[in-house]
Amino acid sequence: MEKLISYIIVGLANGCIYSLVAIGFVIIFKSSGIINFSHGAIVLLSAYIYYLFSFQFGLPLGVAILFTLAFGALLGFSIERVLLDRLIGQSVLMIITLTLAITELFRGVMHLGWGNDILSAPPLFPKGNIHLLKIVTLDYSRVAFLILTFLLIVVFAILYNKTTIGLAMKATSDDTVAAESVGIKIRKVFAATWVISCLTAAIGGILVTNVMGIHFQVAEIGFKAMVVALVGGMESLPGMIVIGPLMGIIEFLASGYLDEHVGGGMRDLAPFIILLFVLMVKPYGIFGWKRIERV
Amino acid sequence: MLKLINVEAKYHEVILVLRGVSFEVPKGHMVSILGANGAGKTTILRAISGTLLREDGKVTDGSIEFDGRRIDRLEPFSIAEGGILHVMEGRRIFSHLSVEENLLTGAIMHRNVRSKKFLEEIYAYFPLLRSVQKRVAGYLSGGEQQMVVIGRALMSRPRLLLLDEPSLGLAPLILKEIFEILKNINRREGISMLVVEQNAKIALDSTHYGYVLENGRIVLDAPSNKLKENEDIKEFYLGLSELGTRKSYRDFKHYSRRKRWL
Repeated sequence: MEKLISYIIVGLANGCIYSLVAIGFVIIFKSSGIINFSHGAIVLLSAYIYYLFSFQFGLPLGVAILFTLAFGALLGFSIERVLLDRLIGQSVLMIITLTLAITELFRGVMHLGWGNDILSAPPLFPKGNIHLLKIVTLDYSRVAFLILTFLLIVVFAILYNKTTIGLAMKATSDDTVAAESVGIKIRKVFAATWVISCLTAAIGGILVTNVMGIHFQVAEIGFKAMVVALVGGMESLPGMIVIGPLMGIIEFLASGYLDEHVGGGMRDLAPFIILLFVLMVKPYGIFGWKRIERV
Repeated sequence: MLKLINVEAKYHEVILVLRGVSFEVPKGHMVSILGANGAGKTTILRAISGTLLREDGKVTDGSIEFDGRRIDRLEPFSIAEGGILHVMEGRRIFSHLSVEENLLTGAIMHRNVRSKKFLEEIYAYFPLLRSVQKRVAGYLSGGEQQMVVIGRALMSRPRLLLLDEPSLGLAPLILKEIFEILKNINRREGISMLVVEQNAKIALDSTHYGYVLENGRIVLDAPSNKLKENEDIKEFYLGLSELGTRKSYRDFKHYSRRKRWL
């Protein structure tokens, strides 16, 4: 019983990392229909940039964080303006392929810049643990992750449902040409989307350094987050907040109870098995927009 | 107000669709353009609203003027900001948004999205929409969707409304209702309208002036009530023979009248 509870809580905290990264996917998909495969690489690149500012340059943590966020915003803006702007109106498949190219480019850059070693940036939060119910211990950085993810989701819920730019984003994702015909500046909407998405990636990158260290495996988070996004429904922020932690819990339960029988690896396998089954039953994800087709 | 002079438009730089189209929409008037499939009606509207750019098309010759200002090189959003709203063919609603959100998107460019006053005005013209305002737009009936799209366009306070086949796929009764509302809006708000239609009867019944487009050329133009009396229009667009009765298509083989303008 104690084991079960600790799996659940640790899984929950870990799952919030997926939620945070998945939000970045969802924001881009929601307003442009693009699945951004490079998101995981952008998270990792932000982590390296944070490492660069905080450790290699020795800047104070606050300044390093600020610079990293600025870098994220700038990166999003330039990806959109330099690469994607020309492709407005082209098929989504081309753009998705382009994001794969971006991934490889960033991988190369990171490899050149920082090599293969596992790096660790100065910790953001004091070392220490929170004890829950006397059986589970959670370190501060995971707790911070949890809180930040929830905060961000609240912020985005307000953005999408209460603000003008949110409405413009929703309209653009629904029908780009029609959005343009009512006078929405879709280029601005796309730029804003990428800036916001890469900002969340930068936040994710900074936090990830505290939980997992910085190395190439971190980019794999992108894939886990993509699974979360697909299962939750690519358009749904509430989906992310529910499915992320759930996926974390499933991972830990699967590895905790099944690894000894199958010889390990369940933690990486379980999410994909779940994805397979969910897509069979609900192809748009659990909370996704049902494609409306009137006959 | 709107003036097209010798407009020539091409898709993919080779397919010539408009071959020197000239016409005018005076302030406060409703003007219709009739034509068969492929005549270039939709292309005219796209050229005016700038959305031609998004279909890999271009105005290659001539000019389009709105209030004396050339608009044929502008981006779609600045044309919309200038006061020309394009209601596209096929009811392009935002199908996952609610009716109210759909209407509000029309006000985005004026940055007063939360304006309840505008909404009330739209609901006054389309009372039906008030009762479905929270529903997801994609599930509405065709007529309701058409109303949403027109309402959305009105939310941005246009001075000229471009309507691309509002009759598409609608029942005759609903169609009549929608055109009544359009006439009403034209009268009360003084919004000019350019209607592109295949349904010649309803178009000529509701507009002031009509143009006939064939193969990318304007071949005939006259006030709508005159156009209705034209023998060729009766024959080819209204489907009436000289006797004023419906033509029997059993005689189609012997159909020998030639279009006089060719």
